[in-house]
Amino acid sequence: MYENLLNISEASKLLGVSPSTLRRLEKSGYIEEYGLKVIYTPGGQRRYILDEIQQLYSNQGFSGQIGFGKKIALLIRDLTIAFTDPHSQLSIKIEDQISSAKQLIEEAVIQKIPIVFSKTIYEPDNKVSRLWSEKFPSLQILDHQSTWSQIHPDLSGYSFDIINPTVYITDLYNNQVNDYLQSKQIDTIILAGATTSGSIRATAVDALQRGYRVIIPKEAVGDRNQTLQNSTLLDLNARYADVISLDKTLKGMKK
Amino acid sequence: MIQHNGDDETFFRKRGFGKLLGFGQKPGLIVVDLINGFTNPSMPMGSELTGQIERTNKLLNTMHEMNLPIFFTTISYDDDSLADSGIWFQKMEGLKTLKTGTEAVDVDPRLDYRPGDGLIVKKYASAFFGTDLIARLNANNIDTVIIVGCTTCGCIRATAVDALQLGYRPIVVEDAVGDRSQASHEQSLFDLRQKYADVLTTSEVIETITKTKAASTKI
Repeated sequence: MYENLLNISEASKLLGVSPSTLRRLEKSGYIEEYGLKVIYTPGGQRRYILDEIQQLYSNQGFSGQIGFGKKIALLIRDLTIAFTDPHSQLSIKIEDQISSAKQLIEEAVIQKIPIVFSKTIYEPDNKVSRLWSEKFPSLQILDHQSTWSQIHPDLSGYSFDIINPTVYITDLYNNQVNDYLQSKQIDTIILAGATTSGSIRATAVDALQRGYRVIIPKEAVGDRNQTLQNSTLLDLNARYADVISLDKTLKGMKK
Repeated sequence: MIQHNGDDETFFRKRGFGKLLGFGQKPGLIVVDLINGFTNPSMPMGSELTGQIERTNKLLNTMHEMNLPIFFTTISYDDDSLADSGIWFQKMEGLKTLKTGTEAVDVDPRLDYRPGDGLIVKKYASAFFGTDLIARLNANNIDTVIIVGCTTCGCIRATAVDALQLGYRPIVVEDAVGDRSQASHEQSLFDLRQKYADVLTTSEVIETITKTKAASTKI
């Protein structure tokens, strides 16, 4: 029925992982999430389909899962009016991001997990702000005081450990945030908010570089269209972060 | 393979994204990770980048002629257990091929890499993270960084985003950057062009820097 079947050592060589990693990923269910079939021979040997393996390797790379560490922080970005109101030039395609963020916040409060809410603002006196707004002038609506910069009403009632108004793309270009995470001995960062291809992605890369494990619940992040959303999550999962379901994230937050 | 049709372009343009940043007073060239481990297709993380290397050589030629600064980057791990990759190794096992002292971490010999060109050894995606690149750019009064190399959706993108948020004008050279995946390559160029960088061709870049005679501002 299938042509070009590979045994486990051939498949793992193509994917650049060890056979034991491949077996482990199968046990934890990740092989299925990657859309790979594992066929068992009557003798119990694993076989993989060459086409699928090649497609996986060339399209998204293959990656291990890093998993949760011991101390978690929740970082929420830009779930403000500007990014969630359909009338705004900056808005994302809203699906379940707000309700997902609510669930994450409520679990974080129960588990005493610190929460940082970062929001992009425009400061005319800041060089980076001015430069970035040359690329897209609609950034200028994000005046610190304006309605656009206010937190989404469904989330504004919660108390956050830090509110971080920032002119930067990543949440971590701020010593106050970094010092806080270090003082709490955080080793795992959960990211929620907008936009997936923008600040979420940049913060994920930056956080990994700083040694944090990065978890992205896919229902809790959003972008301006589905292509950006999907391709970014594939990339992130292949290179920098664990992209998992909201349910799995909520489970991981429980002690 | 093309993921973005005209509708996506139109949508972003209507919303005011994707304006040109333009060149500043003085550009520098960053040649990201064109090392054997990435440019030799038979290496686990390698891919075919011959065209990108040829166009990078054209840019190198112009930069050398105009006495403009050039910085090559490499990723190189000297710790036996790759502890100097932090937790990145847990995500990307292929990094183990980038060991210090092996050919994999050397700049591809097809490139016109000359004595006096900078070499930045990095451990992660961004050429800025944990390196002295900022100090070197500032010492040379560089306000515009021209970025070539690989991979588009990995280190190129991370370097361009960091350049912008550090206050430099990033110019990504679309026909001199490459990726193992064509889809990721195109996606990243689209994104960069809309929000973070100017995306131009090799000939556009050469034309601009020779025309503006940026070298005259050299100190």
